[in-house]
Amino acid sequence: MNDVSIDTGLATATPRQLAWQRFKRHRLALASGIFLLLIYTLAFVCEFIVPYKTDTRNVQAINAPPMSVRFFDMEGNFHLRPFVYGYDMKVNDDTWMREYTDNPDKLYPLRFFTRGESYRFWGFFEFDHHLFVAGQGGYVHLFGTDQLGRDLFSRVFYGARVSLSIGVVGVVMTLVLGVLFGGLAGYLGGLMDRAVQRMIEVLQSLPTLPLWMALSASLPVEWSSIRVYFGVTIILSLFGWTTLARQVRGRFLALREEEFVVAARLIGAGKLRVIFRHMLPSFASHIITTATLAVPGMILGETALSFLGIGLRPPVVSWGVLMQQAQNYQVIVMTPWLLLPGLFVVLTVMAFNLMGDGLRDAADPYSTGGQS
Amino acid sequence: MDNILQVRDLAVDFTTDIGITKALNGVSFDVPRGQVTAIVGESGSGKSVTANCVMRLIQPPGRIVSGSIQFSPSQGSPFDIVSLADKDPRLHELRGGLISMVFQEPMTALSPVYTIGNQVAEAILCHRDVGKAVAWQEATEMLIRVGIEDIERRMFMYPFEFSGGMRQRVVIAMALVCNPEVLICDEPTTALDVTIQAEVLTLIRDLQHELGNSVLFITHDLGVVAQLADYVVVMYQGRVLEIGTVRQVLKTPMHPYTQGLLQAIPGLARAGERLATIESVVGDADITTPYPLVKLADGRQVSLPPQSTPGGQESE
Amino acid sequence: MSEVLLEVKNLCKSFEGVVAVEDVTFDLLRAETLGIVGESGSGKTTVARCILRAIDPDTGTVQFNSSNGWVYLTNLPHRELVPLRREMQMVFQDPFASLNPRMTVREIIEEPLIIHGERSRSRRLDQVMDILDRVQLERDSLTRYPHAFSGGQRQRIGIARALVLRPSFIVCDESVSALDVSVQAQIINLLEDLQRELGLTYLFVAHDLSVVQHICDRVLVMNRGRVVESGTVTDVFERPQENYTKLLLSAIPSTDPDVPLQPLDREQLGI
Repeated sequence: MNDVSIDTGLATATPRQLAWQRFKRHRLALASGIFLLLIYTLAFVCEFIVPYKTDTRNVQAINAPPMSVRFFDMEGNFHLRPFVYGYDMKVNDDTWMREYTDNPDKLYPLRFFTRGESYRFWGFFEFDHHLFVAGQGGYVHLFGTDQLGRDLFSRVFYGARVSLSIGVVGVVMTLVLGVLFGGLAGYLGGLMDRAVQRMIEVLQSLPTLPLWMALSASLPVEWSSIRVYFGVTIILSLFGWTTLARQVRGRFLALREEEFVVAARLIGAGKLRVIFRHMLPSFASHIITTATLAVPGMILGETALSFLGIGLRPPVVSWGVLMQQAQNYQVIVMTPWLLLPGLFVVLTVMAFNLMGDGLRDAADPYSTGGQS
Repeated sequence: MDNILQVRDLAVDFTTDIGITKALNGVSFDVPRGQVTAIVGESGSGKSVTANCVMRLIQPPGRIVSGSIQFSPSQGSPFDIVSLADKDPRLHELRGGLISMVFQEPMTALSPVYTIGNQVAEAILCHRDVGKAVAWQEATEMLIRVGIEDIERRMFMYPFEFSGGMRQRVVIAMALVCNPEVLICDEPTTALDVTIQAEVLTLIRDLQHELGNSVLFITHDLGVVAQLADYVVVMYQGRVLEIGTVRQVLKTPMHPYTQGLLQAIPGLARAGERLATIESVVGDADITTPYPLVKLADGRQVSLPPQSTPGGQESE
Repeated sequence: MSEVLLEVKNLCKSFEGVVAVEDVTFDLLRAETLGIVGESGSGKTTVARCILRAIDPDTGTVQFNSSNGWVYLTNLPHRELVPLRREMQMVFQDPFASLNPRMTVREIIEEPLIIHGERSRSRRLDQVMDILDRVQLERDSLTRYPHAFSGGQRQRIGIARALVLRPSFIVCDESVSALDVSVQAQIINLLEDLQRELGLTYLFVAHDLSVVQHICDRVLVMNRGRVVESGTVTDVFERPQENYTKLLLSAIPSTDPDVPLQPLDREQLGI
């Protein structure tokens, strides 16, 4: 509080360390960060994590419910190796629905880090090891199966790869567009500024959903899934960059008048030095925060488009595509586990928002907390 | 002596990343009724925290740890402000009613979306059981009294249409309109230009003479203290170093810190020479150890090591 | 009379139609301290910033007696101003906002040297150390960030940055206004010591008349963009000629309780 410098390591801490300290205090944000790190890692290596490919069908299990992993069998014996029970299927006489129960004779132990279905990791090299597979010729469906008998657990993680990466790729494109236009408007000012401003206003006044729909509908049907993927990403970022551009422009204008920027100009620093050494680092943290908060928008956008059937289409698997299967009330009543992808969307979006909040609070170099 | 406020052993802690900071560490002083008491100190001295304690405005991470503030209104029985429960009706009565506050930045005290007249009248309606017409009438009178001219038009204007000095006058009017027993001014002229500061100071001085309320004036400016205060409390690092009448403290300061503070002001007498700094004046004297305040014969109190408290004064 | 270092003639600047500075003319002599006083909105800061071309003035000229002879600062493109930055620098008001929070003290003080082409790391470090000693900062400050320092220490860092290029001319824009009285006295003393040691010329912009009175040789009084009075500090403060100056002086509260504040009335003075 006084004219003495406080010697508790705070004195020599870099701004980044201080920001990290403040971020750590945000328990929820920290937990969200860890969750996101985990789910992105899982999505990155999803071929290995999951036991099946997206199109592998198990005709013995159509619309089967999630299995639970057990250590004790029905007689109460303990098994060191976890196992699942296979299904016993019976068609209900009244409803003509398949009903599944655990079959005590079909005890499938789970084997870890062993061979299973072979796959091409990221389409590059052949491999056949999985995190876990069911032993003794059995099957395992932790999240149940869909109406074609495909393993939902596997599909959710393959879908995570597409949905989560659309968020990141989309935000990177948003960032490029936003920083470029916002920076130009803020730094050059004048006519450029006004042109960019008007463009942003026009874009922001367009109703997003119909426009997305129109643009997505115009993607040629014969496009490969990878082209559709990028097409959708571009469509999402074309409308997403405006908010960021506005913020960048605002920060640029504010920072240009900031005394330390004036000071840099007065010691003779050139334009590039002023921008890259003094201005950009000062709002890099804000950009990161905004970007973090923009990712869920992208994910939701993809989910919405795919859900409506105009974004990604099968055989591509994304959370939106998976949710499309869960469009009617029958699903909710009969096979509620098909809604699980929705839970992942909710968790991810919430985690991004919470982490963004934490980042925003941590970003300000002067909010050291308390009275100083 | 008749004191409207008696602050005793007030201690406030702020919990921060680094640990606990003692913002106030055993602060004791009196605010005599009908007089102007100034608390003077530099940043970090705890002067504003003290003012906020009187209004019970300390918020987490700050916390009043101990001490008492005995408030003796002219009507009703005295009570301790510190120990009032948060929902005690006396607290509402206190804030803006019996005690009101003027802050440094007038814009923060005024709402940008209501007219001046509305806001001053609202202050009356909030604390007194009168009709709108009466409130409006009294608001007009008070605004005239603080020197707002062309009142018929100005009552319907918004704060942003006023200059800084005018806004501060409006805030003072708002503070005085409920006829508070104590007016707390927290650096009310620091954000103002020197000519405007002079006008506002003259206004506060004249109104105090006229209304006779007690004033607790927080400032860092010894010039302002000299012009306005009857009594002075010198604070440093959350403690009181010296208390006395304005002439005692400013003309014959006893504490080395007060002496340093006075000599560090650049003034005409020492133009061209090196300025005295606190360090050079204080020298080896110990100003950081919290010695208890010792009351001297002439009524002043000073916090000095026991052996260096001049004994001759006590026999005067 | 000593040599003229800076000549300002008929300087004018308006912001979006509002006149901030109107027809300001004055000379600055080498090794003197010239004060500009005035209230907020008087245009004193704008004058200072126009001289260093932090702001481009509308009309008028500023001539600077550089080591390579006289130059017109007002006509030069910004690129050609860069070498002149070695000779003229600024110390800012806000010790918090004027230092980049993401640079260490060393980076802050070293940056001018890098920009002005000092390639050798060790020579740069020597100069940084030397200036650090002169502004009385501890050597272990180098690796710290501004947030670890108090207001007074930060202002010393700002002064070090301004002085590391060994300029002859420094603009102090309210450089001590944001500081506590005790810290203010230290910084004023430091500025005066540095002036003596390095032969600096100061243009000292301030609203606090007693600071100006203490540190300056001559003073300009500004009101509403114009210079209303100028002269030596003694003349202006003891024998003010203009009503505005009289008003300003009458508004200073004395620290002597027996000298009552009696501000003059604006209207009676016709201001």
